[in-house]
Amino acid sequence: MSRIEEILEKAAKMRDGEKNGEKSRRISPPGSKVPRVVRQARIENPNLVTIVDPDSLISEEYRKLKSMVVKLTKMDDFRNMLMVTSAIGGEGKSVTSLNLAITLAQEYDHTVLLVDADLRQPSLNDYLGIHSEIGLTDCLVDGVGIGSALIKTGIGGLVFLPAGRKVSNPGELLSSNRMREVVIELKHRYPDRYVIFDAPPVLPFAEVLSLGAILDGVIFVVREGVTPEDNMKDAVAMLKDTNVLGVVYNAAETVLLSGHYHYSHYYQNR
Amino acid sequence: MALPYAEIQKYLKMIIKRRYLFIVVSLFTMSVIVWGGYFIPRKYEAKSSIIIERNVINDLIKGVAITPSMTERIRVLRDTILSRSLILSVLRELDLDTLAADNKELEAMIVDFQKRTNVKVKKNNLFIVTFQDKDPRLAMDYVNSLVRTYVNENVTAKREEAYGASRFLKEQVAFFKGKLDRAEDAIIKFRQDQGIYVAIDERSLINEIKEYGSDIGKIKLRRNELIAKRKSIKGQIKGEEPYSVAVINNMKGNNNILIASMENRLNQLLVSYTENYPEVVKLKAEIEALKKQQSLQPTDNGLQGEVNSGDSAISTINPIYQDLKQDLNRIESEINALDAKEKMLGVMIKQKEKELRYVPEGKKKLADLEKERDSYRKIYEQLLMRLGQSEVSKQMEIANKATTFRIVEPATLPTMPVSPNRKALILAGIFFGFAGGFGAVFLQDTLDSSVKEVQTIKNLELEVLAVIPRIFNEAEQKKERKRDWFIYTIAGFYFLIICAAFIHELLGLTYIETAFADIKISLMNVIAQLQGRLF
Repeated sequence: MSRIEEILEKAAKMRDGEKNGEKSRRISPPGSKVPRVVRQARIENPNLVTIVDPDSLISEEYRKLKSMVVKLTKMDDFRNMLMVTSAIGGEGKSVTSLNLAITLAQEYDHTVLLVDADLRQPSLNDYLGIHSEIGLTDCLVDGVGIGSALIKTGIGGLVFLPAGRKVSNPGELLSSNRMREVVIELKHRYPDRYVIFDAPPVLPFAEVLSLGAILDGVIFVVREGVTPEDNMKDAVAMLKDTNVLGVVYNAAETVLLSGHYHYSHYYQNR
Repeated sequence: MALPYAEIQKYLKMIIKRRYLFIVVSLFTMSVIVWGGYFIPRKYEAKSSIIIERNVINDLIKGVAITPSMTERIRVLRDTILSRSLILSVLRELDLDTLAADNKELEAMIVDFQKRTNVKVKKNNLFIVTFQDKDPRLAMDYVNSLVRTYVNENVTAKREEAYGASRFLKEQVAFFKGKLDRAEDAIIKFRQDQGIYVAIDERSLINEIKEYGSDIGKIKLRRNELIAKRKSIKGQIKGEEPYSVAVINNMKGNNNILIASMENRLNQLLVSYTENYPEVVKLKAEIEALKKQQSLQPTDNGLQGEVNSGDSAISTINPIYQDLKQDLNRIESEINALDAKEKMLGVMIKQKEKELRYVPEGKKKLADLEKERDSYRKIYEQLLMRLGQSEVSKQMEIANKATTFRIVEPATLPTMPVSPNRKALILAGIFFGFAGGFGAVFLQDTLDSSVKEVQTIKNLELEVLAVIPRIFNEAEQKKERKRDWFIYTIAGFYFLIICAAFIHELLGLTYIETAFADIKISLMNVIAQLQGRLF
């Protein structure tokens, strides 16, 4: 990204900010092709409970997760680069990373950048109701400036970096030096910002390991009744060179039978 | 052991998660058991109770007669009543044997009836015979016939037994009587052959021998004494003259008178004494001497001349000499008598010693014979006693006074089937249905290797950052609820039908059974038609 373009983008950002506040903005993508974009987050997906149903038990659990993450990352130095992954896929990585990012962003103290690093099957766009053809792949392949691909979601301090266009070699991209540079850039651009990567699953795609190795911590998602025990063990074993902060046990049926319902009653009666 | 709450929760969660599988398997298993039960043919049970009575006479004649023990009878009762021969005779009586095409089928039929006949003994003297069959009348007839035949055969058998025992005892009594008689005859003959020997005992024989020995000793002593005496007398005799000289008047006529008077005296003495009597001997000698003197007178002139000058001198028997002679004779004869006696005693001692040697052998033979006789006598006496008991027993059996079988409750026509117990079957169906449903869920859960609880993660020493409940989106939830409601409704309705079937059975109604019978007939017709078309 050239310096002129950066300046132009900044100007446009300022202009849009003046018009529509933080919630929406419009930037011109690089190159001649101007895609149709929706840069306004429309949260309708019920899985984003932290927004749709903030008083629910599930939202409360995400808040607990946030607290844990904050606790684990603000120890000696701020370990803000996190990756959310799982063993085989379909275990709720994206939903977990989204809800975690939202709860973090809803706090006044944090800004959050959510990166859709699942280049094969990006899904965060859909959850957020955003359609943008510029994203991480564009930054990695075409050298588009990250700043131009970032989308402010309007949810607290949550900024979103979509996956971008589809490419044939997502594995190589994630394990490339360029990716490393991007990570370093993101880490240092705003030192107090959490950067959460929604990564592909561990077992089918080896590139996750190289990505995990350059990040500060990994959050591993396990879905009850879906993640095979052996696969979970294998995946955890593969992540031994990364800093696994812990596991999010997702879609637990047990909780429904336990006393957790009281929370929702509490909120409902409030 | 009570399941912990967490365990219950785990299983409940498992069922909720796989609720459709649970419902389907549960209802399917219930259906198979409940509706399948209606295809099982009904079975009716006929029952007959028989009591074994012990007559009071048994106690009265205890020890006099012997009746078969009741426990012994009951022990063999089950085997007897289920014996092939008894069942066969019952089948023949009921003409059931005609249903069997050949011997093999008949054997199978007997085995089948044996298996289905149940004999239970209660309180040691009541036994109950039961039999199950789909035909209530057949069950009743079979049980009644079986019990009747058994009782009859038992009575006959008892009588035969009693008669047989009596007959056998009689034979044995006769046999041992013969043996006893022969043994006694042998003893008599032996006694006759051996004579007194067998009556003498050894001690008396020895005593007698001793006595004879002592007698011989005495005899010897006496003889020695006599021999000494004889010697002394012989010495004395030598010093004496047989005749002495006396001066007498020479009167011939006087001699004759003297001789005559002496002869008279001799004759008188001989009346009372023997020739050996000393007075007799003396008289005889004097007479002899006088006669001798008379005959010598004419030739002795010289002498006579001298004597004739005065009184005549005559020689007479010396009385001392005569006395000594007599003593000698007496001693001699006594010695002879003692010798004879000694000899006789010697012979007797030898004979006694011979007897003594023979006594043990003879006695042994006699003892053996007596032992044999005693043994036969003992057996004979016992047999005789038993024969008496047997006779009483026989009479008791004839009079039917011993143990008797009384049919207290003959089999009646069963109206209610005993099998299948549909009420129990439906309850079992419901139970096994749920159990089967749970089993299927449990099996699927076991086969499912996915992570099912947070603990699995904790076990890997990983930190659990959060436990996020399953998120429902409303549309999805609504759809699922709708589906759940639909399935729950159908399953509930079907379960209610099963419950209704249970109530139907509780009320003793037969509508379902009739309906199933119709279905069965229709099915059989369809199968028959299909078979007709195929072949």
